[in-house]
Amino acid sequence: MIPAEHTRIIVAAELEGAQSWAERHGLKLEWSSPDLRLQLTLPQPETDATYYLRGIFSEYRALPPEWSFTDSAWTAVGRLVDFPRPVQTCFGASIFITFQDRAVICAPFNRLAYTDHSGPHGDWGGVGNWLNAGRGQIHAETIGDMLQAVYRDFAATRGRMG
Amino acid sequence: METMQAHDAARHDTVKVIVFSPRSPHPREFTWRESLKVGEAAREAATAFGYQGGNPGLQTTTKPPRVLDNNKTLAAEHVHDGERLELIDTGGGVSR
Repeated sequence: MIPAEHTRIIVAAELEGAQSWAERHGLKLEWSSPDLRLQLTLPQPETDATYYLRGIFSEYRALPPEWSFTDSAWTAVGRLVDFPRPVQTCFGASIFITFQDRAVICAPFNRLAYTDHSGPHGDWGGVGNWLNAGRGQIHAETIGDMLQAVYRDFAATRGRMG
Repeated sequence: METMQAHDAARHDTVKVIVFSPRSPHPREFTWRESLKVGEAAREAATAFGYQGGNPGLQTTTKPPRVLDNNKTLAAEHVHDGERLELIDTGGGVSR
C-alpha cells in the first residue's frame, strides 16, 4: 500500500513535464490532488469532438494509473461511446480496443489492461510488473510519456467506437 | 586555410536541433551528423532525458506532426538546422 501523500509527491515531480507537454499541444490538463485524479481534455483532430481522458493515481508508482476515456462528467469508464474509434497507424495496431463489450486502453501503463483489474492481459506478469511488461510494444514510464502515448494513437482516430 | 575548409565542411555535415520530451519541461539541444540514423539520434536524446528502455523515435512539432523513420538518416528525413523535434515511443499497440 502506497500512502496517498507519497503518490502526490511523485505526481508533483512528474507533472511539470506533463504540463509543458500539454501546453505545447494546446491541451487542457488538470490535476485533482485530493482524489489523485488527472484529467486531459482532447479535441479529436478529424472531427473536433471532445474526448475526456482520466487517470486515477492511487498507489502510483507501485501500480500504474487507471486510464480510461470517460463521459463529460469524468465518471463513466469503459463505455464504447466515450472512446475514439481506433485506426491502424504507422506504429501498428491501436492501443484502443474492445474487450468483453468494454473499451480499454490496452497498454502496460494502464492498470485497467490487466486481468486482475478486469482487463485482457494476464500475460504481463501482473500489474506490479508494469514497468517491464510488453517489451517492444508501446512503453511509457512517466505521466508525460503516458499522455504522449495515448495522444499518439488518439490523433489518428476518426469518430467514436460506439 | 585547409583547416578552415575542413572545419567548414564538418559544420555543414551537422545539424543543431532542439528536442522536447514529454517528461521534462526543459528542451535540450543536440548537434548531430546528418548521416546519423534517426533511431540512433532518438536513442541518444532519450538517454539524455533519462529513458532507459522503450522504443524511442522522433517527430516534428508541426501540426500534424511528421513521424521520422528510425531507419533513415537525418538528412534523408530533411532534418534542418534549428528544427524542433519531439521524442515519442514508436512501440506498437498490443494486439489481442
